[in-house]
Amino acid sequence: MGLFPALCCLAALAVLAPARADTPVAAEPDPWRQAAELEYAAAHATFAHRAEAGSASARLGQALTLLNLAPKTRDSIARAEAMLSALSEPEIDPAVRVTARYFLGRVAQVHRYEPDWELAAARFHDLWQDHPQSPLAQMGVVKLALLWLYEVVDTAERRERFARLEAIGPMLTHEPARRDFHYVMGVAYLNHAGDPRDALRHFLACETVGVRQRRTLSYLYLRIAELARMTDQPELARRYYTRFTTHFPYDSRVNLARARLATLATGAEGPLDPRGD
Amino acid sequence: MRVSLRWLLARRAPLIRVATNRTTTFGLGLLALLFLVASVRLVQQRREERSPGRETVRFVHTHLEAGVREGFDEVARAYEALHPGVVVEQIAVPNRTYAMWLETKLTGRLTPDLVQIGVRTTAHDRGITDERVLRYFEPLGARVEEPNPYNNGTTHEGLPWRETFIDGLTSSPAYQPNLLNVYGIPNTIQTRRMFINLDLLRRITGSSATPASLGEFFALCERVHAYAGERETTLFPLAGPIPQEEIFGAVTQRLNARIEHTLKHEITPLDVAVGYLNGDWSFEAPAVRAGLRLFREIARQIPPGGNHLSREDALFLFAQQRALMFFTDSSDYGSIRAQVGFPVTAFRLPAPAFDDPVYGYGTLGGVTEVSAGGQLVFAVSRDSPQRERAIDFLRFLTSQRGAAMFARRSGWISAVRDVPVPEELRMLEPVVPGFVRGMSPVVGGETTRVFNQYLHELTGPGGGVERFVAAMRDPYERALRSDLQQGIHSVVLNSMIYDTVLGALWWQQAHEPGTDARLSEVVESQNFQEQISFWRRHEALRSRTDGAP
Repeated sequence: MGLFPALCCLAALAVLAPARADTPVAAEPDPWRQAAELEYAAAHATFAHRAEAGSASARLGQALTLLNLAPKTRDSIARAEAMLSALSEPEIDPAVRVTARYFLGRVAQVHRYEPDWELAAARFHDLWQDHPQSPLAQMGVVKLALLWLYEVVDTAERRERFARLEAIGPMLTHEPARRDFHYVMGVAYLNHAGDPRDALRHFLACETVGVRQRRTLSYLYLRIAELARMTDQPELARRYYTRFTTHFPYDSRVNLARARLATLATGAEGPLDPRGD
Repeated sequence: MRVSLRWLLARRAPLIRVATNRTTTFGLGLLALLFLVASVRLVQQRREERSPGRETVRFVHTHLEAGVREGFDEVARAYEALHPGVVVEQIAVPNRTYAMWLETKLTGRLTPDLVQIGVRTTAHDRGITDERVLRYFEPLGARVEEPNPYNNGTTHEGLPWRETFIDGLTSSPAYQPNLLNVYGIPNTIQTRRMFINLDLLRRITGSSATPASLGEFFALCERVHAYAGERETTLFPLAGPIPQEEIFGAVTQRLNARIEHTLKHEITPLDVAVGYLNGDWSFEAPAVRAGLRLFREIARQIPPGGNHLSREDALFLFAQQRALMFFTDSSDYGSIRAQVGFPVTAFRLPAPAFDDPVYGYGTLGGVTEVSAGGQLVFAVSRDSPQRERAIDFLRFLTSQRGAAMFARRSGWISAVRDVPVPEELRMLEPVVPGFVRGMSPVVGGETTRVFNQYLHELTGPGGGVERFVAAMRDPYERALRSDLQQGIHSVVLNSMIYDTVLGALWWQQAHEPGTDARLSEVVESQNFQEQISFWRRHEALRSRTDGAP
């Protein structure tokens, strides 16, 4: 009966033996790269090690990875928020400070167990006021638009918020921020039954910057075409329906776009609108 | 009297004790031997894998149907011949245990290089979660914009890889709508068809013509009931379960534009949930009523309890000639052929006509299959030590040559364009005319549960649309809110995960040029998803405040 444990030990040694031979000593990986590849635990460990040497960027990395480090708890989110608060003090390097302030807004908006949208909006708004040229502050304006436009408020307040955002829009210079701002505004006008011409204006501005996702591009083409049709701009509508059918010939909505094109050509009523139920 | 082993040993039955000792020793020895053999094989396998110049690409899928594994094997051997030193191995895991198997592998970071995603273990299973896809698999959005080199010399030479697929990689699970990116590469196109026993059809109707309209379909069902009654035999028109999505999808198309205000002309189940809460549709809507009536009518054609039959049990009824028709995925055609002893053909469940007085109110006359989803989709594991090799194998597998090889051996319609479709499979090809599918009231796990719980009020004896609607209205709204909340939470969860990636890319961009394209993509995905999710949250909160619907 002593044979069995001996065999087990031998087999275990045989399995483990090749693993220890010739293992090269790897250089310390770039924790930012690891974080970008969702390797949060490894990145966090490296950031923590580097943060001991007093690096502000390492502390920023430590806080950002802590936001998504498993297990995610109230305590871990609170610690990440405290670290970001410390990094948003005036004596900190400006690049780190602005980044920390942006993510403080995100913590209040989505990471906290009980999100605080009012605080998040205030944080994004203050960041924008203090650093209007910063791309990250401009990206914060998109988040501000989402917070303002999707809070349950009365119509007058919402109209006021649309107006304030419309005033900020022309000041955005960072392309992803401009693109997303216009897209968010366009969809928000549709969601809140606003003027279709406002929605169309924003979608056209968004397309000028250029979206990266094909799915989003399909939505953009179809929305522009539909809004142009609804606001009596048949040429514009025709152009965008055609773009849609050309770029997305295998999309399940392609026959709708073709039917609309046919309707535009003949002026006849199409069967595609909802009945009054 | 029961004589146990312990009792015999206690009675000091020496012969039995000797035999037991021998048995125990033999058993343990055998166990040790098997352990040793397994260990040696494992060591050998590791050594082989580590030998210089050798690469092993493993892919896992759930398809045990005849021809599928052989098809993959043929492609794998052809790839190995092109790349000496590369070994391609497939792992086939039964569908029922796949979710657990995959979870173990993902958690242990032992995932094969290529993993089938979008596998549903039950009809209402949503497959792998967005969070899992985001965390464990490689986004392929940029890769699919590059040409597939294995298509050189073919009609697809120079085309972006994406454009070589029938659906342009726009459908789930290859395209992940919540993550706004391509995460997988499909191998086959799947449609849903009504399979019919031709021998039985001829005996009942004297013809092999299949129904071309909803009226003809129900007329055939009545003939089956009459045929069974005359012969006092058990025969049902349909084996079940009821094709719920097809029924509602065909009769509620016009409601889409009412539910989805943002003119993208595409609705998701959560849009339907929001639409219900803000009063865009209700169970009083004529189109929804038509869907429920059609559901009840189809329920009359299946055996009692048929809606809860598994695919295998329904196929058994069909094979036993106790049902004339069987509605299922086109990929089941191979299994049907192998299991039944009669000729079979297939047709689409006819949609109601535009002017149908009972069911036509909300229809646009048919649902297009132009973007019929690519299935058998492989995603690339982030943990794969040979991601490039794995992607290269995927390119070969979905090149015109590789895809034709797989389609020929498997008998499945290829997801790749211009791959010849055998005459026999033409009935399973996607139908292009028609419009986007309409809404279904089932929007998630909870609404599915409630719908099924009260289904007897619709389909049972004495049941009907009014009884069903009255019984399930309140529980439905609670279930719908729960499904909506879960959907919102899922998007917020992804959004949070994106934040750390975004921060890292932001920092990299400042110090290492070339990451801004990915940064821009991540920002776009996050903002667009949050827009949708925050709108849903807004409507859920508003409807509570207003007391609507």
